[in-house]
Amino acid sequence: MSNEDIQKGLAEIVEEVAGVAANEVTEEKSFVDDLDIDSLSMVEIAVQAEDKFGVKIPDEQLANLKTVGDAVNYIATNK
Amino acid sequence: MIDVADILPHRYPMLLVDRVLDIEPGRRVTAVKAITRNEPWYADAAAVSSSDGAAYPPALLVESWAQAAGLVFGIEQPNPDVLAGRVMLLGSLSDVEFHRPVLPGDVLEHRVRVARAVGETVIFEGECVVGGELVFTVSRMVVAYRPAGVLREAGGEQRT
Repeated sequence: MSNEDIQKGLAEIVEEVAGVAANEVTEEKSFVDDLDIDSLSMVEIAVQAEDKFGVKIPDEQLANLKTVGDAVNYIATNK
Repeated sequence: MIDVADILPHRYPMLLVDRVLDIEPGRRVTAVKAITRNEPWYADAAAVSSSDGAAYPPALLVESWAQAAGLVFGIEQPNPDVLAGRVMLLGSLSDVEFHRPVLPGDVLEHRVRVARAVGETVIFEGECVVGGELVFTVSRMVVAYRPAGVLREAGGEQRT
């Protein structure tokens, strides 16, 4: 699965959970500052990403995933 | 025996859990609620004149299930006073599917499991059954725990 596929999959999750249009979910965007995603939605996104990509995102790692790109890279390296 | 009124702040007519059957604090709970006609939602006689009209309101079924979820962490940190301690806030419910109506006389068995807990955010999942038959399933309920003091400040006017 390419980084592009991961980003696309992640964007679908973000759209479903937080109601942010999938095309807004680009690598440089910050979940909190740009996409206005709160801590509750972030946890929900992480859980769905774990199911979708078969990756484990530990609690302490979640806080480090500031941008969409961070999350894509994390999923790509750990899946 | 666990008294749910010692743990949850809800009171009549909104306390919608009767008894805990089994609980693993922080992980899961099985709790029951008996449905009776003697609840306020059946006060309008017209609403109970047909079997369809006697179906328990689905929103209250989920409320009852969510209250059972409140016991999972509440048992270790009881909060019968909603104006103090940690308050459980509903963030979202996803993929709730109803399979059968509930009628007076039914006994709901709520099965609630913690799918994930990150800090003060918890995701619950589970189902409700009556006599072994599935009533509804909940894929995800996201809940946040916040100190009551913070919420009162945010709310502005305080209740006296």
